[in-house]
Amino acid sequence: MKRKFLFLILSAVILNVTPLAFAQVTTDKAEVNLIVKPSEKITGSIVLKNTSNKDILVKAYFEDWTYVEPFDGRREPRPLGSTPWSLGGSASVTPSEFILPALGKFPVIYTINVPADAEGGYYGILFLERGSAVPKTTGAGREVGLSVKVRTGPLFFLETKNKNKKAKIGDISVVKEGMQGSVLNEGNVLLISKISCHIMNAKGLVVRRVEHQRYLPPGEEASFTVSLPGDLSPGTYTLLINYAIKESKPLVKEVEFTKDDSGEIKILRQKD
Amino acid sequence: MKLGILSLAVCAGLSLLLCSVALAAPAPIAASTLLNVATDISAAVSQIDSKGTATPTDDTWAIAPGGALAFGTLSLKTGTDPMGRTWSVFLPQYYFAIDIGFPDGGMPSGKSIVVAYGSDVRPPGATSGLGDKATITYCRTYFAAPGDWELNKTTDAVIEKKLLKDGNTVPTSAITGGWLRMYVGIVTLDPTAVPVDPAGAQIFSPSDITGTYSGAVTISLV
Repeated sequence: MKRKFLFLILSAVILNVTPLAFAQVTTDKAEVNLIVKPSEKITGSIVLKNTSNKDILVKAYFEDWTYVEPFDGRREPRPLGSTPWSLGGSASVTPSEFILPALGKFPVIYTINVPADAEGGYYGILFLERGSAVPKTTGAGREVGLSVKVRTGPLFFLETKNKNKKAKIGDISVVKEGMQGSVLNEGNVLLISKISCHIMNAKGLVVRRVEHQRYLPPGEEASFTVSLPGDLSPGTYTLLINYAIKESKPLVKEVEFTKDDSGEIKILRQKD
Repeated sequence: MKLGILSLAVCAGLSLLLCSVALAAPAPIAASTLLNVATDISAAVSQIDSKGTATPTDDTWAIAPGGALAFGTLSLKTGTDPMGRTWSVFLPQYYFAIDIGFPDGGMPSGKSIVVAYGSDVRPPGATSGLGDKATITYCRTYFAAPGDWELNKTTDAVIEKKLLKDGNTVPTSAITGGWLRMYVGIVTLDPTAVPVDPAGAQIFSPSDITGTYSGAVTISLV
């Protein structure tokens, strides 16, 4: 039985076969990216497709989502209205609950009324939820059961034209692993950017290259570390940090440091 | 349909290869394929009969009816520990595995699978519910060797074991080359279990109020 089960799981994963316990619902969009104007009314549709031979009860609703520490791309859902960049009450979807017919398609219509004072980024997710059966109980003894809900849906990225993309590279300090710094999002939109770090010796040759991708919501700060090569010779070096921000000037920071014969690292100067 | 297209593509590729061999005109053959990124996740729930033992080798797996985790009515187990102290704990016959798949394409990068517990229901007067009395062991499950698929031999690399109420966020990067399997079980506080139950875990003891304990596990792909 176990063999059969796993074969079916693999079939579902590899051969694109309808999975066992949950019928599958696919959508025609994984993301909705829009540049919006204040007071604008936006409507659109997401088409759901049921590739199983069973009708599925689907619930559709908006929630918030955010990137979470260490801001390496991990996302978490949040209740609607709980983040500063929430779509809040301006987003709605209809119908909110419906039967998706077996092997059929069904569109849901979303409407977003952009606030008159909108400025910056607004982010949300249109969850499409379906659930398992609820375990039957008889009330005898200590009876235990759990139901399972599965939900996913397109992420919404709304940004106004008058957005503010602004960031800052914080001061660099020496830590056990090498050098540590941080980037702070001082603007009002998400920043999904790469931090490129190069350590160069006195001859200008690169001795280490490190890259970090950070996903920063407005107002958040993310740290990054640049490890030093274990065989780094004593001498003077320059750490060059480049924080590339799309649609904006990249931020650059230069850090001059030395390594003495005892292996101690000292920062001589930092400049933006 | 996809298989059909794939077969055609493979046949076309083979034909080109054979033609190039027959004509003895070596030419580079470009091959590429596109795997759509999944927009959906599926959760396949298995009910595992422990046979009342702590040994996984005698477990039997079955598809959980309705995809629900019905532990049923707990039974009182008693015993004596190596120190001679007696213990008693209510346990079910079953535990469950939830396998998360990406049925409509390749595993998306930069996404997270977020597990949360809610809708906790417990008998009146009960001070704790399933959030404290059940755990989830998160694993990256994979086939360690090419022949393991045929042998049905999966390998679980434990990511962590957490209380049900604490939920978890698993980035898809943590399960690359495999898939996320979550073992859901009732707390045993067995000191020999691997991994052991997390701090704060509570057993169903004879002092717990009888009645129905239930809740819902929400699995989100964001």
